[in-house]
Amino acid sequence: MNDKLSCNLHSKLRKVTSMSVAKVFTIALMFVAVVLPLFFILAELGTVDFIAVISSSKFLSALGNSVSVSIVTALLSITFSFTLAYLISRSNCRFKSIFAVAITVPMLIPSISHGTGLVLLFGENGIITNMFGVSSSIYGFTGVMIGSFMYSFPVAFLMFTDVLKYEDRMVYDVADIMGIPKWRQFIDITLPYLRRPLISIFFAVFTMVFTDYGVAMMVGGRFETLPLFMYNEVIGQLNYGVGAVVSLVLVLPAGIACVFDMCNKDSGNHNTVNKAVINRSTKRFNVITYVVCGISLVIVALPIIAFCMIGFVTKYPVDNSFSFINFVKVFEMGLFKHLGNSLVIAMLTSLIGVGLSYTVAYFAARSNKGVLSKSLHIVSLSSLAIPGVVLGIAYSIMYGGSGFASTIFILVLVNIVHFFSSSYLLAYNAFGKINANYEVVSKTLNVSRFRFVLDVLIPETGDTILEMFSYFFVNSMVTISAVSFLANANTNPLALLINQLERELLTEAIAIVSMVILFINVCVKLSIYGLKRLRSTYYAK
Amino acid sequence: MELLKFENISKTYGTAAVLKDVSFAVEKGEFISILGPSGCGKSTILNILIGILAPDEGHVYKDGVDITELDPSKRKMGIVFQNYALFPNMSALKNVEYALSINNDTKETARVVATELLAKVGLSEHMNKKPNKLSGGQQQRVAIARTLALNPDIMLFDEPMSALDVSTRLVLRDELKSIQAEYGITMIYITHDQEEAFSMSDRIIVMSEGHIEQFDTPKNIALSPANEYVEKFVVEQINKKIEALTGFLNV
Repeated sequence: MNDKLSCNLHSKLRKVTSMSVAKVFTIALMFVAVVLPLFFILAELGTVDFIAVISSSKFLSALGNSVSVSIVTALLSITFSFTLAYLISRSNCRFKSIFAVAITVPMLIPSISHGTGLVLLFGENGIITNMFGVSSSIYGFTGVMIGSFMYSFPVAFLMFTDVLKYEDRMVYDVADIMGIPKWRQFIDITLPYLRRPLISIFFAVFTMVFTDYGVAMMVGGRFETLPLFMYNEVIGQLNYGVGAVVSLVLVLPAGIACVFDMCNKDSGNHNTVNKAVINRSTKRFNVITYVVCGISLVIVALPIIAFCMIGFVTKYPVDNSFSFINFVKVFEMGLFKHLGNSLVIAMLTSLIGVGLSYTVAYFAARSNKGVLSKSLHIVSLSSLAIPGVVLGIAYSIMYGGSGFASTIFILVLVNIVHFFSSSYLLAYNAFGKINANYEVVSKTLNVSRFRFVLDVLIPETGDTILEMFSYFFVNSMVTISAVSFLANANTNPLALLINQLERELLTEAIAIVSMVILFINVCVKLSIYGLKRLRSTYYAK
Repeated sequence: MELLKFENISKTYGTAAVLKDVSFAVEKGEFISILGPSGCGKSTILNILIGILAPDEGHVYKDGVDITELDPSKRKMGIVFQNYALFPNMSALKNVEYALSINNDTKETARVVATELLAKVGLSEHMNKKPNKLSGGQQQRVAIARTLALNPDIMLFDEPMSALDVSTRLVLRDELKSIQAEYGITMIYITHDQEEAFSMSDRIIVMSEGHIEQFDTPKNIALSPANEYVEKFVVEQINKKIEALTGFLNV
């Protein structure tokens, strides 16, 4: 009996490996970075009269505005992006991969730039307003809706494309053989398959719009949304208590979405799916695809054309001669300094962020799937449920007044936390697709974990690592949410310079800053694409 | 000479007892099959043998030394999986020499050993190909060569031929037996295929629901099955196959 006991104890002790210690440490770290700051928001609630805030007419009207504009935009975005994704993934029209890339360009500029684009096109002195003499105002609900649509539909498009990619082709082949017409196949096979992703994508777009203040700041006019209300209260009047109250409301949809996704989680194992392209192409289908793609390209291109037209003339519409005068102005306002900040922040965020999320995903996905791994997985996904603005306020309350709060490093930290979950998921899913027996084989071959990761795992997941880097970098360049509560005159990144320019009504300068951000992100995307091509030619040998 | 001993091993997951007081011993140079349907506990035995799973009770001995708590890398055992688990970014040659070069062999020695082993399994012409350019049978040969490279005392096989077509299986069976004869390695082979177990093994462990039903030579199992389970799961199945194969002759 004693022998039995000691054996049990021994085997339990054996489980306390260095891996478990690393996991506990990581869980603690994630807790401090993600969950703890939220407690500071709760503490801040004590400083205000909660009921008074949520029953104030300003709060209620902002809430109503936010909910209505988010629902309408989400429906619009989803309808349009699904149509687009379905057409592109099922047709065999030429240039479809180019279309698919071009449609995601709006993701490379800040939300506030989308608002600016609308003002430049349809504002009182907008290009299209002047060209066609349109008189109806863009400011208000319509503007916020269109601007939010512009910056959210590419995200929904990517999500739909990803979902449609994993649909099993065999099912459609069988349906064809059984003589089921195409439209019935769509209704009876495609739509039921999309039900869960559809809800997820709706929540994702709703949350994006619900928590963004950039578009409303630019084209909202008197139409104040909840995050803008919070931004004005906190940045303008240092009213952190009200910020805390609004934060609670802003967390709700993302929180619900996060729980929904966790409950409906996909095992991530698509190995059995026959992924060969499902081809629905008829001549008519292709024509429709070209038309819809053409429309989306115009939507995507219009703001960029507007930035170029406004940025390179002396003073639109008074003096339309070509000039660099707006560039000079922006340089004088410290373009290089802010650009430098942005690049340093984006680079540090990407390097550290990739390292951390990759390591944590490795712990969670490639070791014993015990309670620790599962806890680590859930904690790692928790930042998905926290909107950037809420994270920003939480950090600003938590670190306010400390030396750390005035450095560029707090911006790096908040960005890493903000974008951590998505990057983590990229790595986690990639690890799930890799042969589960490698670690055992390595052990019996006396190859250490470290060597295995270095020699096999990293080369094998190189494309995913590049994707993660690009995700961190591009988002750090365009984000105006969390950082807006933490940056100061010295650490301000380029995207936040737009807020300042907006206050000074320097629309031309905003156009130029937007173009610079777009240019850098396009360069990063192209470099990543080039590196992936290099890798694939190298590994094809 | 007794090489390996499994002594009163039990393992429980939650409330499900996967192994119930399992004991057996393996002689040096034997070819042992562990035969049973899925869920009978054969993979758990493998995981405990290789050292990635600790038993709740009992001990594992190798050469009389208790290795229950020993790290997998120190057990001098190699493993071959059904899905090969070759490192996809390395050529066949790199896969075989990788562990050698890490374990303090010089690059030159590692290359010589790996080249010889790949020649032995008939892959000299395909040495520089990546796994995805090799057939299933060829990948499995690389996996066997990779395991042989570290000169293990015991080689474990986890249903290594389940993903291969019948003709490849037949060839590989012979190759495996001749490798065993040449190197004198003890082999433990997990399978759910009666025919495979009977054609290759010196002795077979028949398992069901976490315990051993019979551990004997194929001949003894066929002639005198220990109980109804062995009779039904093993002997009847084998006879059915023989009938199916020879039946047409009598028509």
